[in-house]
Amino acid sequence: MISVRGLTKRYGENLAVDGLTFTVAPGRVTGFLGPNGAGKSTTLRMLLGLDTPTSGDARIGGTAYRRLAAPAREVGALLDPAAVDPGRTGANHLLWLARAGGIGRARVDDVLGLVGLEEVGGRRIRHYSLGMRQRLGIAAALLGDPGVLLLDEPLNGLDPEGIVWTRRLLKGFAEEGRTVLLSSHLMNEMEATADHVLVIGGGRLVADVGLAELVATGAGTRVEAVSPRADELAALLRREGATVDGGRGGRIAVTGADAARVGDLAARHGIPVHELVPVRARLEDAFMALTRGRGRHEGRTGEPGAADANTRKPQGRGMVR
Amino acid sequence: MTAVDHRRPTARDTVAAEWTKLAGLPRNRRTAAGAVALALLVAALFCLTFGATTGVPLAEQPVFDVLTAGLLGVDAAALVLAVLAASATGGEYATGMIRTTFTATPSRGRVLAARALVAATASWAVSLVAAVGAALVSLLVLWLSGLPAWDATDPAVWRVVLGASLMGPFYASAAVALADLARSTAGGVAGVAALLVAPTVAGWLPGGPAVVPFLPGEAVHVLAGIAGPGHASPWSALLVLAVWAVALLLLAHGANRRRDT
Ligand SMILES: Nc1ncnc2c1ncn2[C@@H]1O[C@H](COP(=O)(O)OP(=O)(O)O)[C@@H](O)[C@H]1O
Ligand SMILES: [Mg+2]
Repeated sequence: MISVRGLTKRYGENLAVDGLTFTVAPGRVTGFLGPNGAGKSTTLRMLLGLDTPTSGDARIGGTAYRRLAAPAREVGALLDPAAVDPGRTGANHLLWLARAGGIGRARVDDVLGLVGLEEVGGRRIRHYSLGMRQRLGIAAALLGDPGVLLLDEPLNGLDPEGIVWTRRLLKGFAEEGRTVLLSSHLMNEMEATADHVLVIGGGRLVADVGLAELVATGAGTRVEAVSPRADELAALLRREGATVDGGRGGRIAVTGADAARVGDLAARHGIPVHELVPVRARLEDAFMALTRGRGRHEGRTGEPGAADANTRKPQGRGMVR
Repeated sequence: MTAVDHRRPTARDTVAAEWTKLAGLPRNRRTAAGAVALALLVAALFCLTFGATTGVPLAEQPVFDVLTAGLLGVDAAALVLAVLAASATGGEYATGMIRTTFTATPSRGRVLAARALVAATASWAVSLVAAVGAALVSLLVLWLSGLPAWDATDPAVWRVVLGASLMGPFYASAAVALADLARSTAGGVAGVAALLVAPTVAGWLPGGPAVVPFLPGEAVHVLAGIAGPGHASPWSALLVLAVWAVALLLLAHGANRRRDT
């Protein structure tokens, strides 16, 4: 369980983290989502006692990180897989970490096996690919068999295979009842990975919601249909209460009716349908809607009259602020 | 799968971790071996040219002075070891690995103390090998020149050999402190260089010569027996070095204790 209360970090003029309050529950994968410069890494560094908050506090299981008796046993962290000495072997990197944590040497081979690096543990890190370094970083995080995992952009730069592997690992971890928090600036990374997301922009919490809910709020799910009698179909759908846009080239976009309803309606009226595609709202869309006007490069106090007042709409259940 | 024990890590674990970091890096092991080789080379150079550089033929030199000339090779090794210690600390700031270190051991004072202890101990071991080697080189040069050897049973011989070996651990721990303070290898090396030239610079300043005995450069010379007569005792020189090392470490700790990484 991670709890952050009123967490604020100011670097000179720059307010990197601005009064963040949230908790991260065990048993699910929580995504920490926000554009570059949103304050994700800074928040994680404060959680790990590396940077001192300007105000507020960050705790793990109710204790400040720097006061944990056996940190490696409680928290595993991956901040930057490139922050290693390339001249060291992967096994030596894990060994010094094991020593520091009072963890037996045998555990080094365990975690190397766990991340599939057992063959290359004796090789210098300079010969590792980015994916291998990422795995090494995850192995380091797993050394103490911790109940909490904090990972900063762990999917960044990974090949598809690596992404699938990491996802599976994190999900397995959460299923064992552990707490998993991973950050990302890429929405599509989160879609298949996280169960719950904390969205931040400009150092502030924008949303604290289940993934499905976030997607649903962002932009309603719609159905695209192509028909030679599109106008007719559109009229029928409007009569049924759906919203229909488009019509050019026989293509319409329908919201407020799912694919089955659209298809059935067309069949009942003998209207041929050449294409019928449910289009899931992308997390990007949801995110754009949520953070508009809150990004680092988009003036905090809001552009006058801009769409932000309307588009920052999610006020639904589970929303914060 | 091995069960992970719940033991609370101790200061001993931190020392073990720092040792694993330092000794586990092949380039550090090569550098240490190189430091010894350099000491032997410089020792041979100084002993062979001792007559020419002093203008007094080797045969007319006190054999003890040939020994201390050879021990200058240990100074060269000490400088290599100081650079090594600075880069071991500064390198972590350069790569960002320092964050992993502080995540593994949140007590920064413990990390710094362990790092300095490991650097000093390892440097001392290497310096002792270098000092004994350099002494043997001076013996070899005397023998090749058909001159009598220094007396190995003379306690003064052992005192200067031991004294020469202490320069390495002092500069290595100072380099750790200064690299930590500057958060860079270059800063650590520059700081050590400043300590080295401090006695010379102090000598130029009005009232400077009075502080020279309290500078580490002078204390190191006293220990190595090359400061000549009329200087502080080896014990007070040791004390000066210890105070400097601890003061630099405390300074670094004060600066970094709560500083953001
Ligand atoms: N050590 C630092 N000193 C000054 N500014 C910083 C520092 N770390 C981060 N920042 C600033 O704080 C903001 C948040 O950065 P960061 O936490 O790295 O965002 P994210 O990880 O979400 O991309 C950015 O504007 C960044 O420039
Ligand atoms: Mg970041």
